[in-house]
Amino acid sequence: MPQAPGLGEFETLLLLAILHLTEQKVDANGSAIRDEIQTRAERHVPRGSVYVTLDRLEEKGFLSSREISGSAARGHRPKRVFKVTAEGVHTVRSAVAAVTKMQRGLQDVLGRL
Amino acid sequence: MSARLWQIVERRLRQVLPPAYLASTIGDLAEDYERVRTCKGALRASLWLVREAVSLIRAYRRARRSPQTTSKLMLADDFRLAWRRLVVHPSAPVQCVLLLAIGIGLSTTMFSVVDSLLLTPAPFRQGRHLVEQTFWQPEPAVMQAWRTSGMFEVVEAGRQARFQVGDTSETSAGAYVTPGVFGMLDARAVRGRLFSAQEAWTGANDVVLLSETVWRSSFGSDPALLGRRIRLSGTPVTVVGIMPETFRFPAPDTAWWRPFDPSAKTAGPATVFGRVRTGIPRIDLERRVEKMAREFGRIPANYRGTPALQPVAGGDLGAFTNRALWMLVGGVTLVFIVLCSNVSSLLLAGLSSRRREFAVCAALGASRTRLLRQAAIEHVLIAAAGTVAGVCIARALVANVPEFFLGRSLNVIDVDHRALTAASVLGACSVLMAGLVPAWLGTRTEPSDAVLGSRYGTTDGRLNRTATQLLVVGQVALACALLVGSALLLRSFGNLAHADRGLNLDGVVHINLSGLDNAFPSPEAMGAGTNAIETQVASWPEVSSFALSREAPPSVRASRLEPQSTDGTARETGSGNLEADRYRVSPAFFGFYDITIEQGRNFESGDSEDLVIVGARLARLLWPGDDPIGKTFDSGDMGVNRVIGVAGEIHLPTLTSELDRPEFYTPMGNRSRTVIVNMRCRSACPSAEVLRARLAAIHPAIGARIDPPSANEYLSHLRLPRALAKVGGLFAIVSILTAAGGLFSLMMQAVAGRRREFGIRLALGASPGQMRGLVLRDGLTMGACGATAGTIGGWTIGRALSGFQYGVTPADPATWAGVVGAIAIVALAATWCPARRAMRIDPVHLLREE
Repeated sequence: MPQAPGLGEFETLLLLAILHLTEQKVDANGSAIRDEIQTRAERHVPRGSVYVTLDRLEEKGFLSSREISGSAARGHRPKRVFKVTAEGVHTVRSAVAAVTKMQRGLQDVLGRL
Repeated sequence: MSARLWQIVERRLRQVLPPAYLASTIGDLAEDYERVRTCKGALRASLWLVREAVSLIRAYRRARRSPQTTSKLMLADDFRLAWRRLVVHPSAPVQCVLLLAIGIGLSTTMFSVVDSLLLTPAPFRQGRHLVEQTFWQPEPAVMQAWRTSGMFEVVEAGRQARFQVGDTSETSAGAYVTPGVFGMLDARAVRGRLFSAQEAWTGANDVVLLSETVWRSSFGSDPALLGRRIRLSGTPVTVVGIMPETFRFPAPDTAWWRPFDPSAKTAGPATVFGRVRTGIPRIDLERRVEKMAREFGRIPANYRGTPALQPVAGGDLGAFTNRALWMLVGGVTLVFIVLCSNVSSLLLAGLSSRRREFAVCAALGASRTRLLRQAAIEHVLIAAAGTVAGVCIARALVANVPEFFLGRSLNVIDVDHRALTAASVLGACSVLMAGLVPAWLGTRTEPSDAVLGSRYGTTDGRLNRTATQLLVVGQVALACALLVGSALLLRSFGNLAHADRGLNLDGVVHINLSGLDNAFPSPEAMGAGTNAIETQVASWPEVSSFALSREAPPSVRASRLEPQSTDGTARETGSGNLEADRYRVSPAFFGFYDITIEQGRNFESGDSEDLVIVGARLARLLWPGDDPIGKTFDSGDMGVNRVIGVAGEIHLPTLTSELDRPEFYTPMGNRSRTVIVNMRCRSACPSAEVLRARLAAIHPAIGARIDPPSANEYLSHLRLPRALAKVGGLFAIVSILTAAGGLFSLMMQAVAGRRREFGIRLALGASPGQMRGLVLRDGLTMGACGATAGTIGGWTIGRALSGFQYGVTPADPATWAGVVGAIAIVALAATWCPARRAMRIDPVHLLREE
């Protein structure tokens, strides 16, 4: 079975959150990604973990980032926006597929997710 | 406040975040902050900001850590855990630290003293190459022969002396030395200069060097002392230099040095010093030096003693004290072994609980390396604390080394770092070995086994118990052996202190008269002068009784002669010549000292000098079984003597039996230039000044000095036995208490491990008394095993100490009875409390706990 190389649960959540924001045409910066995870996964995520993990995923080549000019609310500081690379999409797909396959036949135990 | 807070946050984030992402990350933070401030207010927004910034800082710091940093953090965690564990359960660690400290302190001190006194050469340049030989008088011919032999780089000479400083009656140790001695030893003056070569010549030798200690204590560190004239033994001399406090030569207590001219006709023994050239074998050196001495007639043809050439050693103790020191080293080694085994047994006693703990940790994912490291750190901390405390104890003990040793070492006695390192390493090894075994076994045990074992096991692990029991039995055995040794030393000391001296020394004061050769130059004048002195002393109102003599007891102050019987039975004394002490005494001497005349008669005035009274022992040795009255013997320097009486034997109780020689007495005669007034005073005796003034009435040249009382001489011979008994007693007490502590810990642990078993027994009808008996039996059995094994060690130690025993043998029944009784009492005391605890176990309470 193909296995997502070095992708942990939190990393998977991050990649999925960025994909959601990209689909929504929202700038996927650190704060937005964190809010997306907290909203969808309903759990608190430390800010530090989000930024460190984003840097790590970019190093692995699953993400790319670019800086755009910032608004006055942020003191005109640049905004770093993330995008999942093709390799990242492939990797997150493999990880999600593995989880989906694993949960098949366990509806009685796990209930409908 | 908000602006200030943002400044701080930005500064801290700048220190941690990657510079490329810093602006965007702070921008995100600022944007969110504004949102929170709008919703929740400035104060809560500030708190939020701090929290978020801390989260970022921590996360980036964690991410930046290298594997080495992580390892360091784990190590720090392990240290923290170990420290917490030691603080929570301090009992065993504190005991271990104390025991280690005592062991390290005692052994380091003992080895430091031995090293300074026996092993380290004299603290001078090429100290190992320095040798000395003592002659009865200065020997310029011998020195010249040494110089031309090619075996020595330098040859110098000296003579020890005592100087009277100023007008005081106190004397201080000093020496006459040739000027080259300082160059030979590479010594320099801290102030002033050394002697010049010309200053050794008679007429130019009115100079003196003094020790820094004397300069400080007697002259208040006066810098103007250099060049000043002072009186030394009545002679005016100029102070030319001050020697460092650490310069001790030729004796440890030498404080004054005057120039010495070996060619001058001065009385008294002199020592020749030489620095041997490198590569000369010691045996060749001794042979050639002895040959030279024989050629010059300095050694009698029939001399059979040890070689007279001696190394200039760091310590000046004599063979007997050397042997005593080595015995003490053996004793301290045994004590150290007892203490280390006690530490090991203490740590092993908690083996099973630690095994369970480590097994559970291993089951929870801790690696074996991590567990071993944790255990190692914990025990390294114990060993380190023990070492630090041991160093403190060693420093305190070394600083309080008895004067007996300090005054005999040319080296400064200090803590020896080699001994300290060796003791610390051995102590740490015993701690680590006993500490790492549970960790090792714990990581090899199935957690389920460990947990079930703890719940359903009735007794502790067999291996653990056996190992601990063996250690405790070993401790008791060693303690028993040390107890035997110290008990024998104590009894010897008691015997020596209470031994019969054969004479009454109560209140005796000795006045040593000098200058008689100037006052009474002819024998006739001396006879008249002695009578005048006798009449003068009899008139002193303070004196209750007195007797004149040329020598005063004990024997070390007497003349030593080798008498040989000229009639009667031939004497069989084995190897060596018979040595006896001669006392030249007045007729009142025997009554004064309460010495009985057992046979014959006392001296009468007018008796010739060839008449003698012999001591009972000498009479038995010279004429065994015969009546000695009327017999004659040759006393060496006085021709043939005829015995007119036998006096009761006087003794010098000492461990060195050769010092307690037989004695004989002759009339005072007129040949000797010394007179000692032995007297007892009614209340206070007159001072030396008063005595001199009174004696000046007879002749102004007569001087008087009050000698230390004879009792001091007798007491000085008790110093070594007392020191041996004290140190031996200390070793025995430490080891017996340690063994008792080991037995107590083991029994407490055993009772704790067998609570369930005892509970079941009690529930099944056993009485509390039976439980107590069970535990007592176990403890006493171990005590008995230890005592049995210790008997062999005790006998061996007793035999080894036979040279230090007086009036007692290694098989002394009272000693053995005392030791066995002490061991039994200690074993009973150490087991009593655990036995009572076993007796008080409540089965109902135990079941409730289950």
